[in-house]
Amino acid sequence: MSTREKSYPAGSFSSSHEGGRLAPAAVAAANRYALTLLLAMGGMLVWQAITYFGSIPRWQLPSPWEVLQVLGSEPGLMARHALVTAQEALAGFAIAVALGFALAVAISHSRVFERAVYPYVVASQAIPIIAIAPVLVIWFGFGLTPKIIVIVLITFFPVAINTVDGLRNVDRDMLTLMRTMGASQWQVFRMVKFPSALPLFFSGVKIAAAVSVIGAILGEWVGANEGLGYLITVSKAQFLTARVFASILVLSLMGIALFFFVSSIERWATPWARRDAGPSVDMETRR
Amino acid sequence: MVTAASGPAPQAAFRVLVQGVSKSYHDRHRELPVLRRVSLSVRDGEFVSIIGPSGCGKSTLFNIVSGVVPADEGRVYVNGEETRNRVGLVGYMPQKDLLLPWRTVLDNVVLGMEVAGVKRAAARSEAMPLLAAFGLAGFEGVYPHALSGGMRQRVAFLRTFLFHRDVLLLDEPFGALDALTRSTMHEWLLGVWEKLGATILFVTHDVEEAVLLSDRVYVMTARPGQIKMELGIDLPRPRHYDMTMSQRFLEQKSVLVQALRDESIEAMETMAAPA
Ligand SMILES: Nc1ncnc2c1ncn2[C@@H]1O[C@H](COP(=O)(O)OP(=O)(O)OP(=O)(O)O)[C@@H](O)[C@H]1O
Ligand SMILES: [Mg+2]
Repeated sequence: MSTREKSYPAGSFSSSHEGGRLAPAAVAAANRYALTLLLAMGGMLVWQAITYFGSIPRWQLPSPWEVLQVLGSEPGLMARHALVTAQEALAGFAIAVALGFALAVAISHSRVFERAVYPYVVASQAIPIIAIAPVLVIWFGFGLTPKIIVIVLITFFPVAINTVDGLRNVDRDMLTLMRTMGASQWQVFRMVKFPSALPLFFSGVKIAAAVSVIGAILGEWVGANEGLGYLITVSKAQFLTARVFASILVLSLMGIALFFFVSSIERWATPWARRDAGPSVDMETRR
Repeated sequence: MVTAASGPAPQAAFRVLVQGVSKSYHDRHRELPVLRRVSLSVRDGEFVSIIGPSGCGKSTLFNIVSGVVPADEGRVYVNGEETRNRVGLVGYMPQKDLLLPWRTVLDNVVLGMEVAGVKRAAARSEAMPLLAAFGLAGFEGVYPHALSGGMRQRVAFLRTFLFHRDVLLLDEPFGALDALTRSTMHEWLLGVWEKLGATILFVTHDVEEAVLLSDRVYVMTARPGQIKMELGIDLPRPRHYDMTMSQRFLEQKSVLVQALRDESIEAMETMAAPA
């Protein structure tokens, strides 16, 4: 047949398929992060220069070096509070993903449920979190619960909306094909709808991952006695601005870590979507 | 089933019996009649082809027979019974390959078996040896987006075959194949058909293919599709490619080509002037 077929080696194909792509992918990744790091270093240099040559008081803008020094001089303090925030963010994120997914499945499978619930899902995003967070503190105290509620409120939405779209966008002809085979509802969901919706589901989950850290801070802002959000509030009051910046730095690292964690799960769960091998032949041959 | 009391019913003699089936599609503005009182029959173990101009309703007819689209009127008997819910009774290869992008070649091929409840491991080990026969050896772990159109079609065909039904509806199964691969697939299909005694209803645009493979050929009119002609192919079996040069083959082929040409001209005219 065509040269396209011959270009693949025979034999244990799946492993060679992966292996052939891994090395260039790793190089590409290294290149990409090298650029990111370079940009960060450049930014820090500029920042350092501004604080060094400019006449901004340190309590207004500490130098990056001072920020890093906070991390070095108070590692225990930072770690303790970071751990609390990470816990809140992870718990809220996990619950939001589960809730968002369950809602999406229910919405896309039941007209009645969709009519009844979908408007409220959308309306939930109009709730001013800042306004109800204090109420949550009154109800649930300073503990984990009000933070988790805030995070879930913010992050279940992108998961639910994207997954609903994913479940709706499934190829109707594939559903018909499954019907010709006499597939059950559950089989259709498991074999077609769910995998078809996975890429959009992961888009939603990635947004949720990035936002969940903000949710944790928001929750801590209103009422907490630990966590990075609490630390920021306290440090700001004492004009320990370098510590505020250090906390923000740790927060962003947490957000990035969660995001890349989700990304790697996505790559593992949707191997067919990795099309970096070049243009798809679908364009020419799919009928 | 329906007339069990009064001896063997006439439909019991057929694997597939279509009687007076009509179908229209509607959109907001108008009605599109697609099939008009189509009747056809396929006996047990028979190989029957349908040819007809594009858009005359062949795929629609297959959708009706397989049970995923309801007919407006008429009756459909599969295996001698008129079942309201007959999905899953026949093996259906749709015109589009509809491979699932998230399944590898091997897992696409075993889809029907999995739906039927076969354990994936067992299904895979049954399918593996067949991949080679279909020119797919070494591609079992590849996702469909990396396949050529012809390979995709062979995967879809194998998926239908492995669904293990006595009646197969094949909607242009070899349309995307080059002549050489196509002839290999013809030989393979004829071999399987003879060995298993399967009953095949086959849609094609290729008249030569229809004559070479079939016991009988139905020609359909332009939309709304009706049966225009039925031709028994009286070439001996087993069939070979050498026969395509024989006098009898060419005669039968030209009868079909002529019938089809008249319809295609009409089809183009009706397309140019929409109702
Ligand atoms: N689901 C549908 N809704 C509306 N119209 C449809 C639908 N399916 C098919 N049609 C129309 O019915 C007609 C017949 O379609 P069909 O696919 O059965 O033709 P066909 O004979 O298989 O054509 P081809 O040889 O090109 O595959 C076409 O005009 C098509 O537009
Ligand atoms: Mg068709």
